[in-house]
Amino acid sequence: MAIIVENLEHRYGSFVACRDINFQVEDTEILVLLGPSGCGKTTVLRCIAGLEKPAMGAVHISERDVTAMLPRDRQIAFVFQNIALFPHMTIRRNISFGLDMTKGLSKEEIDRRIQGVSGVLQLKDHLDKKPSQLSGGQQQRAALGRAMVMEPRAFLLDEPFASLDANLKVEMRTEIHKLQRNLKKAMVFVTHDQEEAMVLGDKILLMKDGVIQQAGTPDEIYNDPANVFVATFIGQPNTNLIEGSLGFEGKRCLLQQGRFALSFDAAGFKDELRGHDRLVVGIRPENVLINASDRQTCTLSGSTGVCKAKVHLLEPLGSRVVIYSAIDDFEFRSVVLPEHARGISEGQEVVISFDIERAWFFSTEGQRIH
Amino acid sequence: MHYSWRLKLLIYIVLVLTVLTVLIPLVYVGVTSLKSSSDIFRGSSWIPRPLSLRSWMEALTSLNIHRNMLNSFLSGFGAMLLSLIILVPGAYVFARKSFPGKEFLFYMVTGTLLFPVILLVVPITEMMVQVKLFNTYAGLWLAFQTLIIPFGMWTLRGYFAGLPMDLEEAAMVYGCTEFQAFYKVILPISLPAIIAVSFISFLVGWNDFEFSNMLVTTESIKPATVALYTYTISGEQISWGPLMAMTILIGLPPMILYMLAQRFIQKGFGER
Repeated sequence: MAIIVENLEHRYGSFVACRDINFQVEDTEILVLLGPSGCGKTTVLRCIAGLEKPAMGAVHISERDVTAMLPRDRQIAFVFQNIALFPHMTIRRNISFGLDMTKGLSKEEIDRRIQGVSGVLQLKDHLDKKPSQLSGGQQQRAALGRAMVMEPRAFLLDEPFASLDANLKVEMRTEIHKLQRNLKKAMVFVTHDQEEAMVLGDKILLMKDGVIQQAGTPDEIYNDPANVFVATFIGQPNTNLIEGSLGFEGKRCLLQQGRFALSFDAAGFKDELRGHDRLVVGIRPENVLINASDRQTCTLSGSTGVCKAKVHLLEPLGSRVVIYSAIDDFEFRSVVLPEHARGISEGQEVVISFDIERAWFFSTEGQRIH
Repeated sequence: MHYSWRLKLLIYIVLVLTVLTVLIPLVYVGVTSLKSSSDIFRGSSWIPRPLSLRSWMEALTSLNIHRNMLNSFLSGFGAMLLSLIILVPGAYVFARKSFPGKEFLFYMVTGTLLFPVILLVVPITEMMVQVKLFNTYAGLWLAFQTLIIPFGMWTLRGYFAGLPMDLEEAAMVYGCTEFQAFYKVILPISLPAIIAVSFISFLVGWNDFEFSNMLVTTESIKPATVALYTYTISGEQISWGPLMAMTILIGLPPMILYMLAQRFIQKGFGER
């Protein structure tokens, strides 16, 4: 195991930046620490790097307990959000900085590594320039180069693409992904960008207020959220959340919120719902089906919730269309393929339905019930 | 930027006035140094008649001005070195480290900027006599720190605090100890600010009169400013000609230094 973090806790004064952090990263993996700003994800990364001393817990890198070690003894590489190249040194000196500090490396070996890395990162023509003469993307590549030449046990990246523009971000993201697959070194990647997390992460750790909300594969995080926060943080547009009172009608359950009523067959999980008189139902926009009301094609099967709503906004995104419709002041977001949006216009009455099997049930505190 | 011609005119008028305020006295000093003494007392004409180099001859020969200027240099340079030893680590610690009472201490140090220096001259002289540093370079160097440190601490701390923390952290991840990170990365980057502060420190020593006048009586370490005063003014009659010539002489080295260091000084005090 490349990185093991156990019971990590860090405080700034009396403020708990993160606590109860446990995870493992294998050599072949990218682990993404995801969360809104201030959630403690960067703190966790800095604790792994040794830039912060945790109040509690332990960090192991390649089977060594590094908790008490200085950053430079941990054999890790860190890529900073602000790139943090040394402005007074050429790119070559920047890349070789760590190697120059390492004892017992021959000049030939250092040269060989610089050549290798600058080749992979397309920096060969820029080695003798100063960082300020390079574009943002090139600078970030140079920062990566400074990390790669060290041949570290693990890479730690703190929102490395935050200062790049959108296109470059996507390009660099793919580069990093390929790079990690080639190097086969553990990578911990901090970001607040859910798309970046979904694309890069073999595992995602979603954090909020210093606590891990859910750890899992992107698929698990997306399709099986542990609580309302995870369900709403991931996915654009946001997950639909319907909070209402819960009633039982024999075999069926009835969730009511104003004029909106959802009757569903809860045969399989009725027991889990018992004891809750209010409930939050979450459903992803792409799992909401929309039908123009004149074409009554939707099935009213036992496991399907159906209601009428009025479309008030269409957002065509090319490959898909976001439809905002409302029942009174309750808004429903749905995403459909363009061909399914044909014939639907703003102001039109539509029938909304969704498969209850694909819906999530949360308590009013936000914890997943079913 | 494009200005309307009215605004441009206004800007130029202000600029010309500013430059003249500085230049007119300077030119008059130069003119006076080239007058004969009877011409000086005759009145304030702008053209020396006859042109006389006597004042310059006197300034360069009859007084030991070379020795005094060397003394000035040594007291300025020593004050500068001592101030750097105190300021660079001190300002870095104030900028980067946290310790109890940090803000209070910092404002204690920089707050002395507001204290009238002239009030310190007598007690400091008294102190120097007691610690046997009266009439020594070391005494001067120490005394000058009261003028240099508050200002230098303020400037350098500001500069250090403005540097991104990532730089040291990157250095520490890639093999440096905290101290190595400081001298391999922070120090070279901060060179413009350090040079700017050094220049001012040197000037404080070079230009000083109050401390030097009180702390030094021996001719062998007497700086030029004091020598100038004793030679030209403290006698029965002010010898204006040599006074002007020596003023120019003493003013030249800082000016040359400034031109050499201008690039850094602007960087150090201005934008990075």
